[in-house]
Amino acid sequence: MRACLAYVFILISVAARADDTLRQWIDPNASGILPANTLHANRFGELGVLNTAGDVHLAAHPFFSALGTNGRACVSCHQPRYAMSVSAPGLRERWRATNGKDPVFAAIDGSNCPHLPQVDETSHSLLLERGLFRVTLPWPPRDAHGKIIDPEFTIEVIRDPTGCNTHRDYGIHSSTPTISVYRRPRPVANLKYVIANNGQSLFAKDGTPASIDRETGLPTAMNLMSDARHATLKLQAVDAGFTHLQMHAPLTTQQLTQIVDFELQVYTAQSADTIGGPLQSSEALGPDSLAREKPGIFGDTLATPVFGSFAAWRTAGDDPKAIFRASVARGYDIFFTRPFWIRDVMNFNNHLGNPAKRTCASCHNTRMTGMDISAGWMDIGTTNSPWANESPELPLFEITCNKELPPHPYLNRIIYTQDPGRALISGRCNDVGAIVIQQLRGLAARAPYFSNGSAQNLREVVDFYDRRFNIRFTEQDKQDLVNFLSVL
Amino acid sequence: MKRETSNELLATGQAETTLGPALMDAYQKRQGVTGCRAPAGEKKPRAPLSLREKGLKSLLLLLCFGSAIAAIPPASHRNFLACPIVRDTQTVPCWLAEYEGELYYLGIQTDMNGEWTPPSLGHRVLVEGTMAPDTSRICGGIVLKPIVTSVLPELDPTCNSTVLPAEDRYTVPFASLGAGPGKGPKSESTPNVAAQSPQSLDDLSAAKSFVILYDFDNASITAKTSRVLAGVVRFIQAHHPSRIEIVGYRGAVLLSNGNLLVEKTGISEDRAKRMAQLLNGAGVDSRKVEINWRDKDSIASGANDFVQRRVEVTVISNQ
Repeated sequence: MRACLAYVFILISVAARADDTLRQWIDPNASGILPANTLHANRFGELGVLNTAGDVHLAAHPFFSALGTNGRACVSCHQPRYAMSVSAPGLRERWRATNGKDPVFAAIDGSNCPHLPQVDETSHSLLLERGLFRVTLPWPPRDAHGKIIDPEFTIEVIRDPTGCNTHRDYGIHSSTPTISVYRRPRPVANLKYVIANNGQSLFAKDGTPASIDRETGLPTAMNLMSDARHATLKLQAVDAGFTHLQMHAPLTTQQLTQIVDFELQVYTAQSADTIGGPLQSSEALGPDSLAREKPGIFGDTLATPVFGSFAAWRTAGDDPKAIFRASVARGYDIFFTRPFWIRDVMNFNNHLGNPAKRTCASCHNTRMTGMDISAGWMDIGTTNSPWANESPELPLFEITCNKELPPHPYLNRIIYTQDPGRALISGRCNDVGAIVIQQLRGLAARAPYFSNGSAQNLREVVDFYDRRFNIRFTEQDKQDLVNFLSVL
Repeated sequence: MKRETSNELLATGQAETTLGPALMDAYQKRQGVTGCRAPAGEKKPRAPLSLREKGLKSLLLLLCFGSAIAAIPPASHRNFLACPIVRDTQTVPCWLAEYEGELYYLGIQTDMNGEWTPPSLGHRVLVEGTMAPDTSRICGGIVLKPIVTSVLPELDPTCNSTVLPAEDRYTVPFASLGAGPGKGPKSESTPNVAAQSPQSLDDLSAAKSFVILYDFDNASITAKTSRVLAGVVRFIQAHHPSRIEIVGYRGAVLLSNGNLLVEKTGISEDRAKRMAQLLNGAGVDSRKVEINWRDKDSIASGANDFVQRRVEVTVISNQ
């Protein structure tokens, strides 16, 4: 029934806005106005995007301008329609619409590797099937001052289906040794929560010094990127200009200011559900609530729950809307209050004991976003053996930790991983496969999920956790959790 | 940087391990860790390894079978190595360890702000505890309080990963909130600077020392000790000292069975150097930092031996 209702809802929504291309895919150098409030249909309902500064004139705005040599703008990979990210279905639609000519498919990172024939769809399979962009990182890693870090491990390419990691020009043995990993772009929205520095310690919870914002001199939250490699929005934008946009000169101060200002004005969340109706009636749902609330609040408490209480959604009723809302409330209760045994999660169990009996909200603990309030890179197994989903289309690396140092406490000294994550930045064995927890907002608009796109839909996310931690969810539990995640 | 290589491991004339050169060499080569000693002149017991002993190799490799510098720890103390045990309850799990046929209660599951970090299944844990005067029991174990535990770095296949199920007779009523959300409001990331520092942030008249404690055979700081270290950095930033001295130490623990467990050689240097890197990474001027380390033996009494596993950071004023 849900699918049928959703189809009707989407048809109505799309028909009502068929002439409004700005609510669809926004091209670089587009003109016109992006309204302060826009709604974008998806299979669950509607996503809301709110710009608290009002309408945005796209012309000449650096976020929407092709600033580099490949025709891309920031918006190429951060589309309002997809919760300021991009979805794999949306990218496939874009490929069909442009015959693969859209700059989002640029060879540098929109293909599996630049040496592949770019006209072939298969050369872009990771982007089209899993929404993954190629991220290139130097090996060995460098610190913030460019000094080489002596890594605690050696890395060997075991499987290289894209050919990039062993390529003479792009690979680990090239003249500029580089490792290619493939990751989802994070939403450029709700960022006041992502960068919130709520008394951030000088040291991350793994005991290493926190990155310092050179402008303020203060430690940063280190939650911005999946490997925490850039600490501020400005640093991220500058790096993205050189890498993703292939700029030859850095962004100007004015461009940086405009980009960062825009990024901090944008909020996104699911705004309406096809069955559950408007979502703003719950205190923490919809983009308005994100704009209204304060960032940096620890939400794993009864006084400041992560996503409010859903109290009004628990009323009995047998109509589809009431039934759906009750399911969402149950899903939230599972997320917030139902303990399960969490094992072998680096940067969690080494602090709380292994195993620890906690809840989803123990890690997803920041009010309104479900991120980790402390610098939140953890290894839950999405990229590491033995827990990662089989992914023969992704590279596989063998990590050998230095025998003179303590081993990884759960994976020992030999680790197989599809993406070493934070370890490619820190050089630490304990960081292999550790990924910064990302926000849980706008999920309905931006499948697939996890940093490596290994979950094609929300049900696969739930299934992964169920398998990983042997939770033994019932079918009803799983549907309740999917419904809960879909309204965020 | 000043270097003090005072490796006096054998300076007391004590003999090397009872484990035999082959095993000890293999162990130290493989792990580069804990040395074991017996007093000079004492005959080292040596027996062929049985299957059970082979299964417990990592424990055997850690233990010394000679008597220690002091005879035995105080009777109220329990210092031992064991595979930890976790027992589920209706509220939060409790952690236990068995020693000589008796079960000891170590603590309950905590959060990031907890005073104690629970152990890890699959790793042996070093327990250094004091028996409560009333020999009360929690979760079936004799309460050790205060208690310090160290998770040994290497995985130990002889330690199983089974969770004991909850039983009605074992409760932890003082943890009524259970394993779900706390009462709040609070922010785990909000540091309390005054509580982070062992000394207040008052004026620096001459020199102030800060002590950072470590787990056994470990040179990394933890989330909890990083908060202490953050207080040290803020103190340094507030007072602009002329010099900062870092001294790393290596510890030993007198176990309840009379054996001496000594940290691996070189760990004092490792601790001192890593501390200097951490301070530098947090913005402390490395030109003001002087590094020393003391790898010589500490006298282990079996009481509060954990304080030997430390780095001292002394902040010296311009005066």
